[in-house]
Amino acid sequence: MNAMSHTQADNAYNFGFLDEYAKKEVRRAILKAIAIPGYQVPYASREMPMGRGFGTGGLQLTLSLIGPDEVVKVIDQGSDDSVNAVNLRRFIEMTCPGVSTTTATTECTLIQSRHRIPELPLTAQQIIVLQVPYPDPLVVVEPSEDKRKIMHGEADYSRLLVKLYEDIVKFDEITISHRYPTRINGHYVIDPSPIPRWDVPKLNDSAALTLFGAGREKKIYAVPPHTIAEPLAFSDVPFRVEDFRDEQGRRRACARCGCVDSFLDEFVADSGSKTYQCSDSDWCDMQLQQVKPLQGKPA
Amino acid sequence: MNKILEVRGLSKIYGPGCPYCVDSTGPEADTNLCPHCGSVVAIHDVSFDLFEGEILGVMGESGSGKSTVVKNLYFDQAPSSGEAIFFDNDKQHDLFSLNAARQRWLRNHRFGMVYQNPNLGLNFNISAGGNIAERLLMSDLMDYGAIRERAKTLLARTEVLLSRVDDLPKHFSGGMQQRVQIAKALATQPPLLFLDEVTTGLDLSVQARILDLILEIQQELKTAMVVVTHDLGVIRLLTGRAIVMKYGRVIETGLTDQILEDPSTPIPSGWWLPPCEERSMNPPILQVEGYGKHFQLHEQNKLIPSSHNVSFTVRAGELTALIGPTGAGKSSVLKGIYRTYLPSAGRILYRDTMGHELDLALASEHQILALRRREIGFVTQFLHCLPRQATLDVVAQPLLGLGVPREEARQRAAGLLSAMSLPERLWSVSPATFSGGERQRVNLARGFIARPRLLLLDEPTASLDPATAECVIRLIEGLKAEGTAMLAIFHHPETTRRLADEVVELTPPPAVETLLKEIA
Amino acid sequence: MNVERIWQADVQQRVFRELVEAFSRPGDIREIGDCTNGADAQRAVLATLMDGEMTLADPHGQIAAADWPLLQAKPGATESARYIVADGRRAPDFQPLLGSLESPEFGATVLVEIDCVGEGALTLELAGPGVDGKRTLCLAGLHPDWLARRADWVGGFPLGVDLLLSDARRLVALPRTTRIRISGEAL
Ligand SMILES: Nc1ncnc2c1ncn2[C@@H]1O[C@H](COP(=O)(O)OP(=O)(O)O)[C@@H](O)[C@H]1O
Ligand SMILES: [Mg+2]
Ligand SMILES: [Zn+2]
Ligand SMILES: [Zn+2]
Repeated sequence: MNAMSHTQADNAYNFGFLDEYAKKEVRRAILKAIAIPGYQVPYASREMPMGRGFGTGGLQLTLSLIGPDEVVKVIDQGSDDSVNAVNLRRFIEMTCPGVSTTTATTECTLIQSRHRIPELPLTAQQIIVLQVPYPDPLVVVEPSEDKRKIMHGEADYSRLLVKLYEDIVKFDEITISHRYPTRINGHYVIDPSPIPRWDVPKLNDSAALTLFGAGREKKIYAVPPHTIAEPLAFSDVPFRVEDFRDEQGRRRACARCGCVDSFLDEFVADSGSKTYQCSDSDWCDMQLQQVKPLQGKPA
Repeated sequence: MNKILEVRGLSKIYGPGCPYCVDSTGPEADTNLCPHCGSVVAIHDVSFDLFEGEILGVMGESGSGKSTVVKNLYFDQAPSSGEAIFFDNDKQHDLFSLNAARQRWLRNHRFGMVYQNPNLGLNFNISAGGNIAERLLMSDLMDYGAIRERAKTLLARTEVLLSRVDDLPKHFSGGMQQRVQIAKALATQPPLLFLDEVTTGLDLSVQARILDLILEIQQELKTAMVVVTHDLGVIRLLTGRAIVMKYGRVIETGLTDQILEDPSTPIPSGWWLPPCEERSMNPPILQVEGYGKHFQLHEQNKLIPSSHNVSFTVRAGELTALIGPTGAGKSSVLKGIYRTYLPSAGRILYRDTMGHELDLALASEHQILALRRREIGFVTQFLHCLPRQATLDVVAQPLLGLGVPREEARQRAAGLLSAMSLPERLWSVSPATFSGGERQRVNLARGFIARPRLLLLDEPTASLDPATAECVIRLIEGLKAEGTAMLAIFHHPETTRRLADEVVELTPPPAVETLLKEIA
Repeated sequence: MNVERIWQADVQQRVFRELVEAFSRPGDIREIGDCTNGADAQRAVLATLMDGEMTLADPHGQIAAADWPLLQAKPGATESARYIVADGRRAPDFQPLLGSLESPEFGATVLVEIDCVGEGALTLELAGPGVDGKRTLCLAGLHPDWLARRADWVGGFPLGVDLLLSDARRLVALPRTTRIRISGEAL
């Protein structure tokens, strides 16, 4: 006998959409991924009722983790309100009765995200699941998966490092903007998904568990809490996050909330002038809430 | 002196093998191919010792198994049997019983290899400095500045211009590529270095400098080396001791000068008979000087120039490519050399197997026909053959002309056609009905089969699909490695970049008026 | 039909989340007795993770005969099973799978039942991924050979085994990356 599912009469789906066999497969892979930080554990990915680009890998993780008392937040490119994020949230609400969703980083227990890690530091009570289009950072230097597996096993990343070397030779700096290769616990190098460099340091010594799911490549990997995550760099050419200073060297601020220490999206108006705004919409809202009462007070 | 490497009973058989393989091959049998099972006994029972700081030569004619010895020791492939112990300071490694990870570690940190084909030793898409950086990064050196300094030092040591540190090695000359390979191999200061025909195919002056360099490095770093070569000049210059191989067996071991000079030592065959000074150079096979061709159209009393003042050289094991816009007269150059056209101007000096030099522009017709039969091949874009002749016979034809028995000729034709993945069902029918790509493969096979010394190729891959083109390119690389000299025109610049050792750019000939003035 | 709680999907989801926490934070003790309705912790974990795809070895006869058909797992030898259940009071007299460089996930998960997780004379100091600085773990009823054998098994990362220790109600994980120092010795 396998797990009795708790399908409900008014709900055509199994709770969490996936059948219990599929969940077990994903769950076993998750535990091995945590036990071997940064290693891409293969698993049998199930067909999901949405396009692959939609983040089915991340979704399968979320659905295997989720319980009825979960509070879920879905982010796409930093925003909770994009079509993608809304659709995913609705899918979760529909297939996981009892689960509540939120846009507030402070309230959620489980985050499914694409392209961003929230600005607000996550806590030990939270898990973040990142959707990954291309899980293997070695694919740019080695087409054969068998050979890549050997290179990963031996932590032989010299050919990847040569790419960085060549980058510095050509451009005087490392030009990778997203998917910055990051070494976990001194061994495996991961593709941290298309998050900006800004978010990469958040993986290091995080209080929360970070899980990565690649649906097409059928891989799961993890950065456990309190684990060393080092972006690849040279000792004399250190890793740097995005620079948001203007021509005068001043840190640009969010046009909406005034924040000067968040990752900013650039908007170009029809007139050609540029404005900047927090990419993390929930963070921006939080900053506004804190600032508003002050502004509201009469002098 | 301490031993660094001890090789015992090393054997490598390609193919299934059978109980008779060993007894029915070797120098007495005059073959390395087992007549019972068709396996190649590439090497059998090879044993030797190498001491710290020593250079040992592995010599022998082509196909005698020299490269197989070093490929096995460098873990490029696994031997069929045998043992090798590597003494590294106070540690001993039984090479072939180590797990794959340990073998890779030794390969990356303690061994170095310089291949005849720089493509194998270098990543052509990474700068020269990057190639060296890669090896340093394997040893966890993580300081960009330090890596760069070390790469520059190594390249300077191997006499690569520092201004070219950041250039891609695919744009380098053959000699420079070998220097980068040597620098890369030395990056981790390995105590043991393998060199496989490193100077074959290079200019004499370049060869000499690289040999000097190897000697200097050996004296400086006390690196132990195994030097594989068929070239007596190289053996004599570099090595103190050598082993001589024939059909996979070691037939002689000893002091190099004794092997070379003492008449009582058995000389394996004619392969080193030419005086070594001459053998050690790679003089051009073909030297074209001021070649020109124009057509006199009598009816219209007009002069049409097609090539003008073209000069270049072609060497054994190298490919010279002609490039230039349509109308630059590229095909006319090939046709002039093959004497399909009678040259209008210039000299076409060809050095034949016997070392005689001959001006093809002036050669008699039967000299030309003899050369076409034995030495010079021409593959055009068009296949001319007898109607209703079976494909296999079309391809075998050049061999028959050389006196090869029909059955053997057809067998070799079959081998070549399957290497070019031409479906077997087509072999017995005439190429007349074939698709363009199929017909071109037959055409190429016929051009390649007799292994001409000089091969002229006119857009050989133009009508082929990418996969077939790739297998033709591989064949060309193979012929080059075997020493065939080639003069070629390629449709794709990428193919030129990949295959050419030398590129000659032709410009369309000047207008008739200008030409006439020159003639006058 | 009255099905025992550990075979139900909602309980398995909760047990799984406790396993996620346990493996994410080595040495962090997870209490699962309440959600499993008092069922033995090792059984609850097996119910959560096993199905017909998995091989399971039971060298010490920990699993009741009636449970095997419910678990669906294929019985396997300790040398080749993906999961092993063992009695921690006995010395480990087997060699588990350690995985390979290419596929370290084939290193076994070993479920080790002991007398008590959280109290006892054996005191371990833990460090490594998932541990913020250092963490202390006390255990009772773990045969001393286990730690020495484990040290051999996990010596060549990424190869290794992942241990999950349990008593009646509690779990604690020692994945292959955890560095262990014995700071107080059991008798
Ligand atoms: N991969 C292979 N498969 C089959 N035969 C091979 C292979 N590589 C080499 N050989 C054969 O083994 C023999 C020795 O080759 P090699 O060691 O390259 O000779 P050398 O370096 O002395 O020219 C030759 O007959 C060659 O054709
Ligand atoms: Mg060779
Ligand atoms: Zn803002
Ligand atoms: Zn045989």
